[in-house]
Amino acid sequence: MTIVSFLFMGKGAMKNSTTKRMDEFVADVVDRHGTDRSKLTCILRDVQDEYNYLPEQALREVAATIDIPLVDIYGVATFYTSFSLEPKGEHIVTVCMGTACHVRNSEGVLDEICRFLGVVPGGTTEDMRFTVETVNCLGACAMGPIMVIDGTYYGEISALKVPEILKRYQKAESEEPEAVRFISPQELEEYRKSVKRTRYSGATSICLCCGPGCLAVGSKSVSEALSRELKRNGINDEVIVRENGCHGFCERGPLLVTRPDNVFYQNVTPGDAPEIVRETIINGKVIDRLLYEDPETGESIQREDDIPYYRKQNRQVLGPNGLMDPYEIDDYIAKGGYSALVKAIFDMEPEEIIDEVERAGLRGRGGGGFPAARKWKSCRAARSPDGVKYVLCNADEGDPGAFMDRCLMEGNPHSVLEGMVIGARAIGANRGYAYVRNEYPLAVESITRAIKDAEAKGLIGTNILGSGFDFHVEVSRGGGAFVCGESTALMASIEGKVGEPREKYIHTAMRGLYVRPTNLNNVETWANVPLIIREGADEYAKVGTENSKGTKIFSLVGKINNTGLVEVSMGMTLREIIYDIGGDVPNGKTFKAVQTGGPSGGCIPESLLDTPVDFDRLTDVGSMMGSGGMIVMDEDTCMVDIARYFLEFLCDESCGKCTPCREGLKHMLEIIDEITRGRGTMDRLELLEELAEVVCDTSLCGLGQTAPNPVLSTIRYFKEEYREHIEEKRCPAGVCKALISFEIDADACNGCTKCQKACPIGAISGEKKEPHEIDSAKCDKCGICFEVCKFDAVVRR
Amino acid sequence: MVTLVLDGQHVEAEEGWTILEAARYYGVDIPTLCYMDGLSAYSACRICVVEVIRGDRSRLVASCSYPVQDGIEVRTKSARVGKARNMIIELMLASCPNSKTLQCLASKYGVTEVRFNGEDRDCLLCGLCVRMCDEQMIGGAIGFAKRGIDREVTMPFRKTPEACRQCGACLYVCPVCELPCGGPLEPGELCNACLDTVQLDPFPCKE
Repeated sequence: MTIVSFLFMGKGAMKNSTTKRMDEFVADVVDRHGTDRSKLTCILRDVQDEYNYLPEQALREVAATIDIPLVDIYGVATFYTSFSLEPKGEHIVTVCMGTACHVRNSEGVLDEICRFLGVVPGGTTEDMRFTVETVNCLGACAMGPIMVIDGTYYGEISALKVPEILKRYQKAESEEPEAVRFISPQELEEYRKSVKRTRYSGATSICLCCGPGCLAVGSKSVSEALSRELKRNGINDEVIVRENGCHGFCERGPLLVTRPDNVFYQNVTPGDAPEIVRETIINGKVIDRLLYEDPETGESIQREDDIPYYRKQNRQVLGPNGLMDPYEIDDYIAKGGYSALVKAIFDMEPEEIIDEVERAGLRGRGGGGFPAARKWKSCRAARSPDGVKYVLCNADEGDPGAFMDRCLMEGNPHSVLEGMVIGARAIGANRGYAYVRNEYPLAVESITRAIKDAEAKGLIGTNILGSGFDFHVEVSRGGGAFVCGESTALMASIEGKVGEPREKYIHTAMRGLYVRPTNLNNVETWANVPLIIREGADEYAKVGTENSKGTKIFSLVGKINNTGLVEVSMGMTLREIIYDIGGDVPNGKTFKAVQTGGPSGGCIPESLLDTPVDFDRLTDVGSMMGSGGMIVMDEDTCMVDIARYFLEFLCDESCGKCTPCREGLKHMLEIIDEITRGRGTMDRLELLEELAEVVCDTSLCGLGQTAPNPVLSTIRYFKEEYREHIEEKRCPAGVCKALISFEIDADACNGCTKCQKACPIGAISGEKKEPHEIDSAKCDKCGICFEVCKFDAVVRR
Repeated sequence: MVTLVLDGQHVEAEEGWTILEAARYYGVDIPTLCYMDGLSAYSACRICVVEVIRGDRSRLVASCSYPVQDGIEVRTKSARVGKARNMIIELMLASCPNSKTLQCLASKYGVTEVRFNGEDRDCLLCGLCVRMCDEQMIGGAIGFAKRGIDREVTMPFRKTPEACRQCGACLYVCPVCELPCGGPLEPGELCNACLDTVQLDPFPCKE
């Protein structure tokens, strides 16, 4: 295929107006990456970036060039959602369908986008202008529902705001959208260069949170405004602006903290920059209106550590995020970074390292809670045919509603790297990969940079600090498949294959990546390792419960006042986290349940809120620690709908290899769908439970074995709600569309016409200043009228 | 040699054998579908699950790939195994009701009804054809595409690739594309009348 046929691909199908022929382009890409199979996904990603999709001819060229059967390439191209065999539109509209967004009605947003553009999810408009896609979680949960258009994040949107935003993109090209942009690598690079020149250690610094939540509400432009302002005042050499990773308190973003005084400002806008520089930085005065106000006492709080949200936390892993620039290795080194590595390599034998980690009681933070030291020990003992062993970091954080790994990778990548080197030394491994989720481009950027910097300083790579110990790390990018968080699927994916799990009867510690002994730990686990080595096991083990040591980071999202990342000592109760740190459910609603453990976890009711955060105790109540998503639900959340949501997610993400997971989940979804549509029976509910047990018992990998948990736990604790759906055909939370209806209370309606104007399908009629009426036959129950009515005249039944 | 308990009997097995191999050696019947001698084990259909007890832990494993280990107890006919196996047969019948192989399995293990909404597909995704093509015929012409419920066995871009020699091995091993049951009921209905034709052979109804 040559340039001639490009002309038929539609406008925008090609990003660069290159005249290069496809075979030449493919040859270049293969040259760049090499012909190793593990580079297949990199090659395909480059091809897709060039043409906006994967043209058949290009895949044939790739197959011919790197000698992989075409059918395997086709399998990979169709398995990962980040690849497309169909040309896509000029603008990609992505709607996050993560759990936190779901409970804030992202489905209504998606419906409205599709209605407005006249496409189905996944479809492209006829004029090739827009493609609408969904993603299972963008990790910006605090700002949900989230919509992204061409990389621009729109947080906290509702169906009402959709037309206005989309119209901007329908207009002329030159018109720039008003929202704040996620920075591109080039911008970052530029910015970093200028910061470096002006960096002055020891002086005042302004630490600005640039985590995903704060970026979505404009922290990048605050940072630019502050830098401009410092320059204007001629103090840009003495005072520096540090763009940090996530501080955690996403609800109040953009967040700003001055160091070393720790003055905390919230909801900062670019307009505040001159005042902050003039008053706080130059004159040392605190600006009252930007301070956090304690909702209980009404008092303003100046210092970061005095804020109730932070006070109850124990931020030993997450805390450093707020002190340094993740792109500055010097910042990390200045804070004592890489001293644990020195200790582990020069002062300790590998067995001593394992022993230390064992005494610290470190358990895997990725979900299962498996003792890290036991894993390391068996990998160390395993024989490798050629001596090669691997150490991997699992950064494929797929649980919708969880974003702590993202924030660690973005905010403190060196701590993860340092942990990996220590682990590698203990195990005797010389190679490693960090497998990062495709949806997290900034995490890829940050860890890649960290590796490069650490290599330049001799902290990883060949002959680390002259010790003779080698450890090489590479970054491997996921392709948008949740199942790749499973260890064997992850390894298959690194090898450039379809991310399909295999039986683990022989552990990956013996036979893992490329059939070599392999040790895999999650991001947060690795970030804990330097802490253990630096502080010592005894000090580390002082925090936590008997069998769960240290801290755990949770992303507290959903129907909660203080959304964000919280790090607490193990053993704190869920009640303390939700009420003392989270500050209760908003709008005076009643708490209903908290979902932990993502799609493998369960929903915990009010009555069990005194359960402490502990691997074993959470499993006892039918949920699990999981990677740390904590989604709070209130009375407006329907538990049957939540179970249906997770099943839908898992059906979508199942690799489809084994029967119980592929077929079983499908039929479970069918049954639960019947219930939400008012067609369920109690007999079918029993069948659902029976099937759920078999799926748990017989599935091949962890995904299938835990997939029925959301269903089983909601049946266990909220059976009454199921019964109401089935026998009374009623959804008490008012969520299941088939079981609710909207009416206008003629007495309360004053005929303001607001609902009539807002209704996207024209189902509301009535004269001005006269009571309006909803045509129930026409109404598609989107709920927009309910949302816009200021007089509570629209009633949901 | 490894010593284990197989359905109450103390038996010895070669190291490296799977539970399925040991069971077949001692004449213990375990049904299989995606397993075939000469092809790599794929552990996908889960019909060969057995209960493995070790200490106080008990779990279901795929016997086609689980290696025998010293001191384990294997139960191939426990209630837990029976329940799981029958549910899996039922799930597969819901998608491919016309497969003679499945009809036979249903008869043999007493699956008398399918309680799920049925379809009439022509592929169980057992992957026998894919492995046959790749491992025995060195073809690599067909493979899996997509994932989850959309997963399918296909040729790249749905066009016959050069790699396909049209040898027909894929058809030969397929448990669905054989002639449907010629029993007294309508095709796809579960008549449970195939009992006499069932043997240990993984494809009992093939001539």
